Amino acid sequence: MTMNLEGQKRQKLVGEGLFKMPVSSAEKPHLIGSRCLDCGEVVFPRKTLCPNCCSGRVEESLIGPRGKLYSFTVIYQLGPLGYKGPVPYGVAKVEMPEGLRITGYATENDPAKLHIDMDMEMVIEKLFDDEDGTEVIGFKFKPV
Amino acid sequence: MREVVIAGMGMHKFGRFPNLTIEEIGQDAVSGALRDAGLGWKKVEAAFCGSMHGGTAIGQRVLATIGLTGIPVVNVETACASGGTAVEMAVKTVACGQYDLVLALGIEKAERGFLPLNSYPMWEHNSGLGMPPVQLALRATRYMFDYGATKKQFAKVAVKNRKNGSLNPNAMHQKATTLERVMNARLISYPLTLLMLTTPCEGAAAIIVTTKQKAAHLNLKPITVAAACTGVAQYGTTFCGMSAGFETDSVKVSNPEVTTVLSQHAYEIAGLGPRDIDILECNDATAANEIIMMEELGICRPGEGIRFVDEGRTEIGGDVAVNASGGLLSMGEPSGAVGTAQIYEVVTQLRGLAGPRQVPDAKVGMCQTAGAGGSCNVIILIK
Repeated sequence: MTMNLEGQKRQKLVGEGLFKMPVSSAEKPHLIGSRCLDCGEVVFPRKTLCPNCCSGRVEESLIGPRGKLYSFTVIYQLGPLGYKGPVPYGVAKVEMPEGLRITGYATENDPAKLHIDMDMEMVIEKLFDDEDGTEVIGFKFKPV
Repeated sequence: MREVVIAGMGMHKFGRFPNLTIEEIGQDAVSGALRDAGLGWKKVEAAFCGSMHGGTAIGQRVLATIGLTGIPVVNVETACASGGTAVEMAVKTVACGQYDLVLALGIEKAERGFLPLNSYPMWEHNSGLGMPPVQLALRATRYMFDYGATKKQFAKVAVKNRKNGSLNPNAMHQKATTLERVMNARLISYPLTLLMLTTPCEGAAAIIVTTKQKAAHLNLKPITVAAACTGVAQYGTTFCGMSAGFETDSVKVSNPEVTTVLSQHAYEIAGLGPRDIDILECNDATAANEIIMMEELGICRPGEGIRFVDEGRTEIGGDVAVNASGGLLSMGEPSGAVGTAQIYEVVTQLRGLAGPRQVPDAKVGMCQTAGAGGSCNVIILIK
């Protein structure tokens, strides 16, 4: 088990630049996307060029954390290489008010408890422990 | 543009062949195509080889076993659409007059389990998102919501395709199954059970194309390639960037799906419409996907596919035989080989040689492949 000097478990992000960690408990987390200044389309993860109109005038844009469940699935056998989390696990496609649908890990893995159009909220949590005990932190969608 | 016809074709059956190298599998298919065409390898002027995981110089490695004649060999990769794209490349180089006789080979040797796509970014792999059938299962769940489709209707597609496959000596799975077995099989990715999903496997199919004029001396009446269209899903579609790190969909921008765009273009070029299609080989990587593809190809309206399935209209002998080969559900999926194997099936049918699988009076066939990254091909063949 890896610990830092304060005796806490070491953490690493599942990917760089995907989400903004809240600084205080009062603050909500956000996903980091990008918005095109010419056509207004918002995409995730962020891009430097707009895939809709090809413009280079693109700026960082925070997304969420709330959205509505657009679709879902639950995976019942081994996930992809690199995934060391529990099985079965849920996957949610969530429609965000910023005008895009994002696919992400879901905290709920019982399909009977997932209903299209239910309110979902993005949270930042541990996905799994790496081989050396480092916590891998990612974003998940959780039923509200 | 010159009229292009199928000169010959060969196939190595789909399945698992631990004792065969990928080169041996490919050699078998290519030799079969040359025999079928009654031509020697020296006559072939160029080759396109479609493969997703075949690796560096896959076409060159396979064709070295046939003969090193110094012709151009170009490897083509559009994930599961690779074989279809190889055919489109071969067809257009003959149509435009660059070559007179071209080979399109589709080939794959695969690992067990889920397709190991390396098109996903690492964060998606590590978050459990980076693999088929996640996106396909999400489409299936949404389709159930949008149109009231049931697992039973998906299961009917699987039963139909397994039945067809049981009549196809080239299929990996040659055993029919029942609705109960399909519905009660192990859930893999809700709502899809194991028997509603294809099996990654191995195989190859080779197609030789030439001009109608050059084919005049061949014994068999050659089948015409009436249209061959290729493309990639644009922004604002469900399929754009699928399984290639672009899984976000736009809510505001809505463009027609690539399958629809290409099929409309193909119908226009061929001078016919969806009602004229007698046999359709389309992407049934999942049982739900066959229905969705049928609708995108204009065979029926959105949401109407489930009624077609319930009424048996997609059976051999129905309005349009969908996946008479057994489809990916029965054939299995050696990704790069799918596109050329679809041509093989349709040509077999149009030649009247499909035996117990024969679609009565088949005159027009359509082949549709789709691959990670949003690639798609639609090809129409006419007797």
